[in-house]
Parts: sequence; structure tokens; C-alpha cells
Amino acid sequence: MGTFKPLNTKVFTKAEPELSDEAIYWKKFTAPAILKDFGPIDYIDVNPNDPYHFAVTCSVRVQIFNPVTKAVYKSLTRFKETAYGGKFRHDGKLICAGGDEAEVKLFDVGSKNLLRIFKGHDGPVHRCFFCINNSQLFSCSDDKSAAVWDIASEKIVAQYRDHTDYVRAGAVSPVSADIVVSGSYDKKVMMFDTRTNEVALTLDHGAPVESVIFNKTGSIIISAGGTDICFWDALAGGKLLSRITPHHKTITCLAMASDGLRLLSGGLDKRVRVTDMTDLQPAHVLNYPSPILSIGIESNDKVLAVGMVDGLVSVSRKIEEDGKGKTPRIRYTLREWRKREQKLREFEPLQEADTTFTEKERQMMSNIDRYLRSYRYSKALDVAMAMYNTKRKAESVVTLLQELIRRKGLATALAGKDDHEIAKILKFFSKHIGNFEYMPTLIDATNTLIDIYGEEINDMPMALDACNNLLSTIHDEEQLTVKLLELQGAMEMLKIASDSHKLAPNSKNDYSVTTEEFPSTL
Amino acid sequence: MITTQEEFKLKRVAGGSITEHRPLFSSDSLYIYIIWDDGVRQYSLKTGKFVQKLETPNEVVELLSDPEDKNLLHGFTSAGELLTWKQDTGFFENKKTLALKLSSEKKIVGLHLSSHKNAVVVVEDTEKQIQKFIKYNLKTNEKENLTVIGQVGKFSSSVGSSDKDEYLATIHIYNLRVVNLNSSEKFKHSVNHEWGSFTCVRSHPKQNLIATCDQSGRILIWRDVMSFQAIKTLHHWHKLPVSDVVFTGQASSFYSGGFETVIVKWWLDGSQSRDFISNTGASIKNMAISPDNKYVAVGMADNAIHIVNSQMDIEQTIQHVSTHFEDRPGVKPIVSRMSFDPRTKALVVNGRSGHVQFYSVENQSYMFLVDVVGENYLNQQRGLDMVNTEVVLTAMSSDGNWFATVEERDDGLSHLECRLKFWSWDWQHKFKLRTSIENPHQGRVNDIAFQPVLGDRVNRLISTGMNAKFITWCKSEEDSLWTLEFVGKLDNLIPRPVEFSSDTSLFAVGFESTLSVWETSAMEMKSCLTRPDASEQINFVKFGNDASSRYLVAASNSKIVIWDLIPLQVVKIIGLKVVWLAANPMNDHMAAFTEGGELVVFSPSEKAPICRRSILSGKKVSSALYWPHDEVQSNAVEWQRLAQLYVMTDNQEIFTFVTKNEENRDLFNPVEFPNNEGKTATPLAAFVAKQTLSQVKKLEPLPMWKQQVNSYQGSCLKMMCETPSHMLPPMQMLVGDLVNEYLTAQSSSNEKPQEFFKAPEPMEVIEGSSTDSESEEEGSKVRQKRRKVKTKKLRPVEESTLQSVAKLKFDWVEMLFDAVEITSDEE
Repeated sequence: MGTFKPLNTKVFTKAEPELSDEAIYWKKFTAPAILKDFGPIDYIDVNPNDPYHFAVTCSVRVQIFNPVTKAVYKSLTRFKETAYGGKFRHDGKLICAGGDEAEVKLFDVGSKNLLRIFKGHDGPVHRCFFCINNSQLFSCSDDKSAAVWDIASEKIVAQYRDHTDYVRAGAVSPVSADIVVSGSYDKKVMMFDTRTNEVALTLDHGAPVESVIFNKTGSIIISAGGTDICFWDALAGGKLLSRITPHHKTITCLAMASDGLRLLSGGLDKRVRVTDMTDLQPAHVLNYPSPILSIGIESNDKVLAVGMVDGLVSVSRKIEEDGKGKTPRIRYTLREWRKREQKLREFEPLQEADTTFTEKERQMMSNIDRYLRSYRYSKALDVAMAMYNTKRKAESVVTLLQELIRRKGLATALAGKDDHEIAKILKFFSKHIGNFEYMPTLIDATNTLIDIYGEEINDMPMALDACNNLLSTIHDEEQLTVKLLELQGAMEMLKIASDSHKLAPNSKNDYSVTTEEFPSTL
Repeated sequence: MITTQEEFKLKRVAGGSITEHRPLFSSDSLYIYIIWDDGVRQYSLKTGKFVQKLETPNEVVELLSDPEDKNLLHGFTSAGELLTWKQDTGFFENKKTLALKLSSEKKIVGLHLSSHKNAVVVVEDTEKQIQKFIKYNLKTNEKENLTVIGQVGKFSSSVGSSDKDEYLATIHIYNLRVVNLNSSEKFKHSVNHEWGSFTCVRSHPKQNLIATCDQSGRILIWRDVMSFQAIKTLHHWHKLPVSDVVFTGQASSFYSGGFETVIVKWWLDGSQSRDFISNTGASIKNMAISPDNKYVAVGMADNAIHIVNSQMDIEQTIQHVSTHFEDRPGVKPIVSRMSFDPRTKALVVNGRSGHVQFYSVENQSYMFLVDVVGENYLNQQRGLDMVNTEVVLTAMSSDGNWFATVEERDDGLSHLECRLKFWSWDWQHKFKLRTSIENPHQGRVNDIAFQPVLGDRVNRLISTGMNAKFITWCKSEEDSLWTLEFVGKLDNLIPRPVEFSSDTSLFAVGFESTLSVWETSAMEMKSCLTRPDASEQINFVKFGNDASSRYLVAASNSKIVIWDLIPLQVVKIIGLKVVWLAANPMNDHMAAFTEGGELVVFSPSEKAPICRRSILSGKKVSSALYWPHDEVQSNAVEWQRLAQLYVMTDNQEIFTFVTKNEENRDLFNPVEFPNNEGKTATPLAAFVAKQTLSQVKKLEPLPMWKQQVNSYQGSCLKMMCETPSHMLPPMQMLVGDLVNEYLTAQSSSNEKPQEFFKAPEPMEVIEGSSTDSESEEEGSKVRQKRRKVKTKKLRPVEESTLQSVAKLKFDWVEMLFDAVEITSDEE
């Protein structure tokens, strides 16, 4: 009451989905820092211990970064050829990595010393892991075998040659030192038991397996390959629990997050999808600039590092909420600051007055609204066009035009403009008249403009030019509409044909039902 | 014919203007008196709440405070009675009937009281269209006709006083006339005709000051009017006619308001400075000032009275049913249909332009407005027809969580603006806009309906539009966005009404004259119901509830057709010019309102109507709904025990039907029994409970229609009546049977008694049903005609001819048709 309602430009803006709790959670990460490396980021592993250093395996080295400073903490460079799969031991003191040299190398993180070299594979080793007992290593190799090594003696404990193609994925059970899992390009996931030295389970994933992990309790094996993620029951003989397809391109990596409650999957579609492990429903999406090859996340989401094909690593940290992290500095806008200052200086009356009056707060409004309010339509249009020229906000111009049509003030607003201004407005019309949402307004506005300047436009060279442009744009739009209508007609014919075929047995109902995309263009 | 003979009356629940007359402040400036309905109501300025009602025998036309005793309040009625109350207690003091002896064409419209208790009665001559004035001495009862005239209008005369004299100022087109009430001296002042005629006059009660306003928006302040050389000063800001103006007590400033929706405060110190309250949303009708000059009461066209303080802030608003006032000359404002909000127990009706109001029927009070369009109200401008966006349709989901509105702006020059908006109930007790869909149907939206919320919590809405499609909108799981789910159509017929069945498994869409029934889960059309003679557009579709859940009722301009959904047959046709059809959610009753103001309550499964009465004659029904009672009301009208029927007329007055018992007490008394939420279950809960009870109903006897249909068993006629024309076998196969049947029918004359509900079958065939709008009378004529045909005895010659025709083979007809087809193909 008594207040001027400002123009609502939201009408022409796309609806944004509401923030779910999950989205708010994933937004509570710091802005990602981008690190650049030379080749594709093969593997990222986060040290489970504070301060959560993360190891990035890329080209011929394994680099360990500090997540706070984003600086290189240690660089392990004792590789002659490309290194793969650098993985921390559970205490974070040792690191193992495979490579094209067909060896698994074991380093001491603190001193960068090469402690052990495990030789015995005939092909490059892409993944290697410390078993839960910390005395054994598990490696997956392109020689179609997976092997378990004794760290102390550098000897093979067991080697499994059951796969028929490269073994590029693997995992060790988080609960048993004897259970290891490998995933291969032969589309199979196999579970080996070192006690029996036999294949305990063979699971058919259906696509070359890129990544395999266990859930937190070790009861579910999660395999990724192609665009599918499969959930297998590791205890009930490898029953397929569920299959989800969160990505539309190949999934390259998996990681458990939020203490086992969320599954992160990265794919070549440049997205990391967060899946809720309780109901396997998609929970959130994180977007990245390039196809994703590797994800490293601390088990409680303290550090998230994502590696991409072009050597980018995006690192972000979770903001602490319980006062441990930085408290965000309050940023005041000028207006808020003034208000605050005024409040501090506010006069406190000592006695109760008969009547007290509070100062009226002035309504803040944009220049466009201010001119609209005082019926200065031409000025309002000038401001909106100037704003469009600097900020490219078409919706505010269209909203204003619609409001002027509503107020019957468009003719007033458009009258008395010079050649240059008219040309600008016409250019705006021809650029946006194809937009489905703007079209009705712009058609009405164009009609009004032609009504006003129809006579004089021949004396306005720039406007005439713009007018011809608009004409050809409209012509193109018409052509497009005709083509789309033809297409729609053809499609509807097919649809009706299929419907009538379906209804043939009880053809007493003579009707047709069509579903179509809404809103149809033009 | 009419089964229920219970006595019931129409009772107004809400509506009616509170701003027709100027309000009056109490002498202590704590209360304000307002004339509404059949009495004077007192409201508190501090809280804006209703305090008490002062009963009056006749309609009050003027409220006045006594110039001598400040504690007295006078009300002047149209019957010439001067009523007196005490302001502090509200007690009625006395009644004095003024001996005026007026002729029949004269009507009392007002009264002025000067400070020396000189009364001037304003009388309107309805024949000559002028106002006349009678000076009346209240002490001696002497009366004297004053020889001045005034133009017809609320504020075309005013009484003021100078130092010693009292005068009456009147306006008549271009003239301001002033009469000295003591000496009867007269003065006339004229203005330039270019300015347009006067609209109102107001004199200062104590100083020699008069303000007049004119059509062009100018305000003239006249000083020293009791001379022929009056001094006038011009105040011009308004662009449109000014409705009313009021001086402050010391005449240092005055307030004015008109059609601009702006309240203006002027200063009379020569500075020409002004203060404004703009965008009040409605034009201003009248103004009154409190005795202590702190407040001004401004009566608005949307049935609100704003209390404005001297700092030009609206401190309080007294609002009754927010009316959608007529702002475009000659264009009747749109009144959307009523909905029922189970959460706030409010009737949802559109309020002032672009707003939807929630009106509590229990407390009989306005609750709040929701700004639907979010645009500034555009007042009319000279030479321009300003069209505001209006709310045309509303729908409330059955659980009250979701609210949908359709708004529209069509000025005939630019593209039609149409928006479908979804609002959700917020914990802060406001409706929050969640989704707004621009132009959902590339044209007007005809109807919207929510799917009733049962256990599965599916939120779905169906809208039908002029693009010959209906669209189902569904709320997405994770957020509150509504998105398109399915688009359905039937040829290129335009769908209008849409309605869900109570169990939500089906919904019906009326496509012009064809009724289609769809399955909700599969979004598939189950059946398409067309009557052979149907050419009228269907306006209302309702599924039966409870025992009648197998029936589907469709109402067009001239008749109600009841379909049975199991055999897909017409059960009966009722010839009524239906303007609104409402279904009772608690049982299987339906209420139809006809053009002539008739109310017909019926049940689809029963033969005779439950109630049929012409009770609304002279009123135009714009919508009606059943309001479920929390518990069975034993006092209520028989058919209203489970749910109360409310009717809204086109001028936004809401009525209901009450028995004599109920009339004496208020339907819902807000003072003694405040709305006790904790005690009673929601209406929806009552509805659910009712359903479980009704499942163990005893078997009902076979309804009449069934018996009637059975008597036609095996008849060819019956098949022709009940089968849609496109499903009938070729005509040559039917001819033989039909003639045979006609002959056998001669022997048995099964004449049926005349009934209110007529069986549709025989009539259709014999009449050939070519009439588009068959009224009730026409229908009865047809029936008589049919009877004549049936009872007519055939002569033996005719009979033998028919017999021979029956034996004939008609294969040649078929061959002939084939031959014709072949030849045409060849061409």
C-alpha cells in the first residue's frame, strides 16, 4: 500500500531450481583452486590424516600437494616412464605407485626415498593398493593379471591370471586383508581370496570396467564402466543390487564421500555426480571445465580434488562450521552500512513523548522504476537501452516495453527519437524477436514504432537499414516456423498411425491423442 | 414435483459497500462509525477491529455528531427518522421522526446539522433529477423549503458557518449557490464552462470557506462566499475528477482524493506544497476528518477505509469484502469463482484489481489479500482505456497447500497476456509464488482443476485453453517447480470444464459438446461421450460423490445430462438453463442455479429433485460452492446438514440459505465462539471419515431410470438412442427392425406418467433433435407431440402397407449406394 511495485524482470528469466540441503552442503566448499599439470591426471589420492595432503599422479611423477596452500609439498620423480595410481598407506607415511615400467614402487613420503621396487608384471601397472594389514600390496596390470605382493620381501604372494584383458581397476576390502577386487577391460569384475588363491566371484559389468571400489563396510562392490554404475552384494554371492546411469558419457572414477553416505562419480561429461547411498538417488551435480579422470576426496569431505584430462586439478576444501574455520567477514553494501551507522547514532528520547514519529524509509528503486513512476516513459526507455548496451540485459528492456504497452505509454516513449536511437531500438528488436518469450511484446512494440515512424523512416538512413534487417530476420523466422510445422505435421501423422494401430482391436473409440513438446516454437 | 417443502431463506453473509456514505469519527477520536448493511458499526481506530453494532430500523443515510452535546451520535434514516445514541455507552437514546410529508417521487438522501442545530434535509427529486433542501427546526418542528437546487450526487451540498451566519452551499453543474440560513439571502457564483461541471462541495464548519471540485480535477477554495465578490484560489494537481475534499479544523490545510488513487494533502499557507500517498490501489470515494485533526478516514472504491494520520501514513485499514470495483466505464469487472481454503477456512474470491482475498466465513471478516499480479494498479486516464491484469480463475488444492491462479490482460490492441501461477502455503502464513507460466495455452485459459490430494500426495493440475488442448501440470519431486506433464486433445475441439472424480482415478474434460473421460494414471482417454443431438457447449462437469459416484453430470446452457459411467449411457436429461453447478463433497447432492434465479438441489441417482425454489430472482449468480460443516448441523436445512451452500452474485455479495431457526442467531458468532481450531477436525477429515462409513451402505432399490430402460429391453429404438451416431451399424440394417418394432408398439400403449425428469430415449428419435436450445417449454411440447403420434391408431390399409414394407428386402439400397460410390470414385 502506498508503495510502488518495481518492474518484475523475473518473468523472462529462467527458473532456477530451489537449493536442496544437499546442494547447500556441496556449496559449502571454498572456491576451487585450479592447479595445472602437464598430462592427464591419472589418479588422485588424499592422505587420510591431517593436514590431508593429496597425491596427484600425472605423467612421470607423483606430486604431493598441501590442500591449504596448494603448494607442492613433495614431488616423487623417480620414474623413467609414466607413473600411475599413486596411493597413500592408511597412515599416510608411505606411498605406492605403478607405471609404464611394469613395476610397483614404494616411497617414503617424508624423505621421498624409494624403499621397494616390486618387479614381476609384464605390462604397465595402472593401479596398486595397500592391503588393510599394511604388509601387502595389491596391483593391477595390463598383462591381464592382478597380483598380491609381500612388502617386506618384495615377492609375489599370489598372481591371478583370470582376466582376458587389461586390468585397469582394483580395490582392497576395507574389512578383510584377504579380499581384493579387480576390474578389467574384459567387462568383468573379479573378487579374489588370497587364502584360497582362487576367484571368489566373477561379476559381469557389461562394459570395460574403469573403476571399482568397496563401500565403507566392505559389503558392496561398486563398479563403474561405460555409463553405468553397478552395485554388487559382496556377501550374497555377487548379486546385482542396482544399476544406475548417472552420466551420459564414460564414467572414469568413483569415490566414497561423507563417511560412506555419498558416492561421487566422475565422467567424461565434465560432471561429478553425487549419489545418495541410502536410496541411490541422484543428490547433486558438480560441474567442471574438462572431462574428469580422477577424484580424490577425504572420507569426511574435508578436501575434494578433481583431476581432468588436460592436466587441471581443481581443489576445494570444506568450510568448517564449528568455529574452527575462518568466520566469513560481514560485507555491507553501502546502503546497509549507512543504515548501520545511522542506527548507532540514533537519538534516544529520554522521556515518552505524546506521539513519536519514525523517519520514513525511502523506497529504493532503479532508475527505470523512478522514471516510470513519474510517467517519464521516454527517459525510462533511454535508461533501459543504455543498460542493455552495457550489461546486455535484454529482459529488462522487454519487461519495460511490456509495462509501457500496459500503461499505453509506448507511443510516448518511442516518439521524438533520432535516427541513431531508432536504429538501436530496431536492432534490439531484430536480435530478440526470435525469442519465444519476447516475441509477443516485441511484435506489439514494432507495430507501435512503425505507426509512429512509418512516414519519416525514409529520411533516416540508419533506421531504414535496421528496419530492413528486422524484415529479413522476420522472414527467416517465418521460414523456420513453416519448416517446423511441416516437421510437426509429419511427426503427428506417424504418431496417429501408431496410435490407431494400437487401438485397432477395439476401434469403437474414434479419437486421436497427441502429446507434444510445449511450448511449440512460434 | 417438489419433494422438500422445508422453509428456508436467503441470508447475506458478506458483501455490500461500507464506503457508500461518509464515515464519522467519535468525538474522542478513538472510534469510527460506519454505515454497513442494516446498521451502524463502530470500529476502533487503534486496532481497526469491530467494536459493536448499533441497530437501526431503516437504512441510515447520514451519520452526524451532535453540535452541542459531544457525547451524542445521530443517524438519519431514509424514512426521515433522526436516531440518537450515546457515544460512550452505545445505548440508543431516542428516535425523532421529522414531519416532512414528502410526495412519493421525493427521496431523503441526507441531512446537514449546523452548529446552532439548524437541520437541512436533502431531498432528491427522482423525476426532475435534482436535489431540494428543507430547512427544519428540530425544536419547533417548523419546516421551510429553501429555494435552491442542487445536482444529484452524494456531496453536492454542505452546511457551514461564518462568524454570525450559517449558510448552505450547493452546486448545480456550473453554479455554486450559497443561502444564508438565517436571513435566506442568496448568492450565486459561476465558473467557466470549460472546466467542466462541479463534482463536490464542502464547506468548513466554522470558517467562511468553501471548497469545490470539478470534472477537470481543479479544486477551488472560495472565501467570503456571502458576498457577490467571493475570492477564489485555484489548486490544481488532479488530472481526473475529484470525489471528495475535507478541511482540517483550523483550515490550515485540506485533503482531497479522486480517481487517481492518490490521497493529497494541501497546505493553505500559500506555499502550494503538497503531500501524497500514491498507489493506494483503488479510487477514493469520500473523506472524513477526526475532531482532533489527527486522522483522516478515506473511503476507497475497493470497500476499504484507510485511516491516515497527519504524517500521511496509513495507520489502519478497515476492510470488508474487497470488491472488484468497476474502473473501466461500461466494462463489468470480472468476478472469479469462489474456492474454499480448508486451512484458513476461508472463501477465496478475487478482491480488488489483481488481488485475491481470503474471507473468513466463520468470523464473517476479511482476512488478507494476496497480490497475484504484482503490478501497479493503473488508474484510468483521459482518452485512454487502461486495462489492468485481472485474476480470472483460482483453484485451491484439497489440502490447502497449493493455490493456482490464472491472470489475464486483454486490451484488444496488443497481445493477450495470460499467466498461470502456482502458490504454496508458507509457514509464515502467506502464499508464496513458486511457478509462473507465461501464456500456457497461447490464449485464454478456460478452466483449471487440482487433482484432489489423497494418500499418494500427487500434485497435479489440469488446465484447459483456447488452443484446443488441455495440459496437465505436475509438481516435480525435489523442488516446488510445476512443469508440463501431458498435453491432450480431442480433434480440434475446445476444452472447457475439467473435473476430477473424488477418488482421482478419472477426470472428465468437456470438449465443446463432447464429454471425454480420461484415466489419470495412464493419461489415456477411456471414453468419449456424445449425445446424438448434442450441439451445445458443455459448461460444467461434475462427478457424483458417494452413492452416485458412477454418474457424471454435465451441464450446458439449456440442460443437465447425467451419464452413467458403467454402461456409458445417458440416465436422464433435465431441462434447466444452468448458470452454475456445484457438487456437495460430503454426499451426492448437487446444486444447480438457473438463469431465472432458481435453485435446484438434486441427486444424480434419484428421480426427483430434493429441492427446487426460485429464491434468487433478480440476482445474477456468479459462482457457488458447498462448504463442509465440521459436524452435522441438525438445525440446518435438510440438504445442508453436511455442507453449507454459499452463493456469490456478480457484485460480490455472498449469500447462504438458512432456516427460520438459524436466522435468529448468527450462523457463526465470532464473539462467543472464536474459531476453536483444536477442538474440531478439518472439513477434509470429516469428508474422509464420511466416506468410510458410506462404504457399508445398504442396497438401494433399483432406481427409476433403470426400470424405465428395462421396459424397452431389446428394442432397436433403444439402441439408436443410446449408441453414439458414429458407432451405429449401417442404416439399411436397422430399417427392418425399426419398422417391425413400430408395429408391435401399436398393440401395447405403455404411456408413462408426466414426470419432472423425462427419460431421454424416445424423445430423441421422434423429434429428430434438431433444436439447439430446447427450453423446458419446448421439451414439454415435444413430449405432447410424441404422445399424439403414439396413440394415433393406424388404419388397416396403412398397417398392411407397413407389413409389406417390413417384408421387403433392402439389399438394393445398399447396392445402389455402392454403385454411387463407384461412379464418384471414377470421376
